Amino acid sequence: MTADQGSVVTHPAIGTAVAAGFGSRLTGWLTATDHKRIGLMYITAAFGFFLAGGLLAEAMRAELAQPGLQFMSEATYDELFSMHGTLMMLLFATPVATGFGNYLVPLQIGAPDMVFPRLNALSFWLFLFGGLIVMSGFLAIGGAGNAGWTAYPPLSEQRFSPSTGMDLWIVGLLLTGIGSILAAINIIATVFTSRAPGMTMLRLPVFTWGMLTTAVMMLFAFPPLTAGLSMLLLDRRLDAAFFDPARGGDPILYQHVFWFFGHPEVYIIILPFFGVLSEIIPVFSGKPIFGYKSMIIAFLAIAGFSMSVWAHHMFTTGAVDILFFSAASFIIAIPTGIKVFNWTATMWRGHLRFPTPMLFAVGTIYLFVVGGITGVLVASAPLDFGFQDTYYVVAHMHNVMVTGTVTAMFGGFYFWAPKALGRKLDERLGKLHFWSWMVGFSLTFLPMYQLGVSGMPRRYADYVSTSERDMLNMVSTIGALILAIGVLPFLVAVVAALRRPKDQPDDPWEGGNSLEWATSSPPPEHDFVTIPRIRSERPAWDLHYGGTSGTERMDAAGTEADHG
Amino acid sequence: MAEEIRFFIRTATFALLIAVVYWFHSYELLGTILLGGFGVAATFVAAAFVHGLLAHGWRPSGRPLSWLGLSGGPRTPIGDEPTRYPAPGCAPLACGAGLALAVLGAVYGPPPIVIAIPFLAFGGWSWLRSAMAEYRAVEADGGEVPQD
Repeated sequence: MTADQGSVVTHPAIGTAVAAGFGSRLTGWLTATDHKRIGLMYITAAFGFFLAGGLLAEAMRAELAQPGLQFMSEATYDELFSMHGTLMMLLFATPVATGFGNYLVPLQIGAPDMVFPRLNALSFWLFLFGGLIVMSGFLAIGGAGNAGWTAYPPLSEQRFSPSTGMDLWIVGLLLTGIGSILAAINIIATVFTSRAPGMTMLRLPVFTWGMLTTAVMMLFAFPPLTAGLSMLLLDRRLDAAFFDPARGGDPILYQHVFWFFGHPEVYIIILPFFGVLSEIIPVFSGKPIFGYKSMIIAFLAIAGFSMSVWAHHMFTTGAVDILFFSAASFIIAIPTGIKVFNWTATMWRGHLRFPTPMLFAVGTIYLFVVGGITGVLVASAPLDFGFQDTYYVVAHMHNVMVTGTVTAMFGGFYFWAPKALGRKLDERLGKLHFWSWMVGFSLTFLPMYQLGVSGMPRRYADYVSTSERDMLNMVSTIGALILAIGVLPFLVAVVAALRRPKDQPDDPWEGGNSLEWATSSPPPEHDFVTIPRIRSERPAWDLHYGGTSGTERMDAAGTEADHG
Repeated sequence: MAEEIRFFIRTATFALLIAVVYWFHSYELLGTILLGGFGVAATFVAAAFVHGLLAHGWRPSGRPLSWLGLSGGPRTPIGDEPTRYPAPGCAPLACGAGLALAVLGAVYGPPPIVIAIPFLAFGGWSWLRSAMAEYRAVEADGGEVPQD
């Protein structure tokens, strides 16, 4: 029997669909090699880690609502912020982007699957098991990893972090890192080898370009992390001395290796969601993306520069060339600015519609610009020395990272849910979700800029009480509560949608551009029965609306390739 | 093909150029090694693509850079496999569980590694068996056999 996408299986002998029990459905998911299923598994698992990381954040904000220790010890607080950062950066944001890529890249390039489907499944399981190992630190003697998500030595060395949880943190991340490298290889190979006839590189959807550049960065950035973590593990378990200056080691080496991964990681997380925005905005603006080629060049420029700015995280070590890294950090704002300009220009004089995905896309631009501008300030070394390790950095980082990933991710969920699930998510719940998210986000993080300017350091469970700090912290905590409650409408919308029958057409938003909108919702096994002729970067739009692209007019009836 | 090779050659050129600039600007060793390593890694990937191109029977000809695929070359992508995709199977899950248990050996000693062995053995065997079955099926279809 072969499992299909829904809750039925088709028996090859009798050729009829029969109802599948829970056991066979579970088996279907556990043994899946289909990219769509693996993509959904990535997204679901990563979202689970997101909810867990969010709960840790809520606990921290509750602790910080007032000065003094309320209900947790300082050691517990250390564990919470360390695991919050780890969960959000490495077990949510990176894998959820990989999940989107897994689901969408083969569909967008007209491929029946990833080129290495079994390897794809292995990547997912390595990520999931690695994540669970990291989380299992909470059950270990001495608690979870507590040296921050960066785990700088000597703090992360055995003598300062003796808990087993710290070791579990390292081996878990080693495993997820290897899974990420395998996933990157798969995505790169798929884009380069499995494109449908006519799908040239300059007709690839912008999202696929985002995933391709992301995968290339993952390929080059994750191995240094793996090396750094391996050295740290050897230091801890076998008494090596890579990072022990007393025995000839150098803790700055770890910072170099970590940030050579860590700064590209910021863009590894964000670029796929820049791609998501670049798919959503044209559809609801009724126009092609403005400056397609400049978007691609901007992706490549961001990817390139992101590999050469890592040491701006290390200005205060005094061990790096500040001028070089400061200049490179300023320069990287230019391609990012090009993207924001192009999204705005796409909307300019468009036939704008504002369903939930578009609201999240516009909200992302607004919040991201705030984060981007504050990032330019900390790229300036004199200001960076002042803001280092204060709440200003926390606010900027969340303004960029949470906006660039989570806000855009929700837009992507609402946008592609009809394709993946065959059902739209409820619009009223979506709008409630959007507005509570925007209000909650602003209330949570905008006060942190002022807290940082006032000198409040991050990563402490307590702070010196002043009337301004008490008030701003309370506002921030209330914002975090709104943020958390605001996710509930989304969860309700997903559950409600799954209880309805599948009723969505190929192109539910009536204006889809890329190839996934030219197949059924949800797509069949191996994605396409027929693929439209591809003569522009908008093949689905050409197929459905007979449009023109440049000087070419699309043959709307063209169905020449069969990937069934 | 040309675009794949160009992509990684440009990446390598960028990284090596930045490494040179960084070295003469700072004389700082660690950062230069990281940037240089990035360039070498990208060069390696580009070389692997060229190797794949040559393995597919294409030989350098024409203008000096044409052997890199910068002005022509085969139109089909490298490793263009026949449309035969793996059926669902438990090999990836077993291998993943086995590897997860094996790395726990670094924390808890030999016991998890011992438990991992049957998972890895079963996963590896199942993986190879499925891959060989697909290989034979493709051969029987008269299709092109995937290059490993």
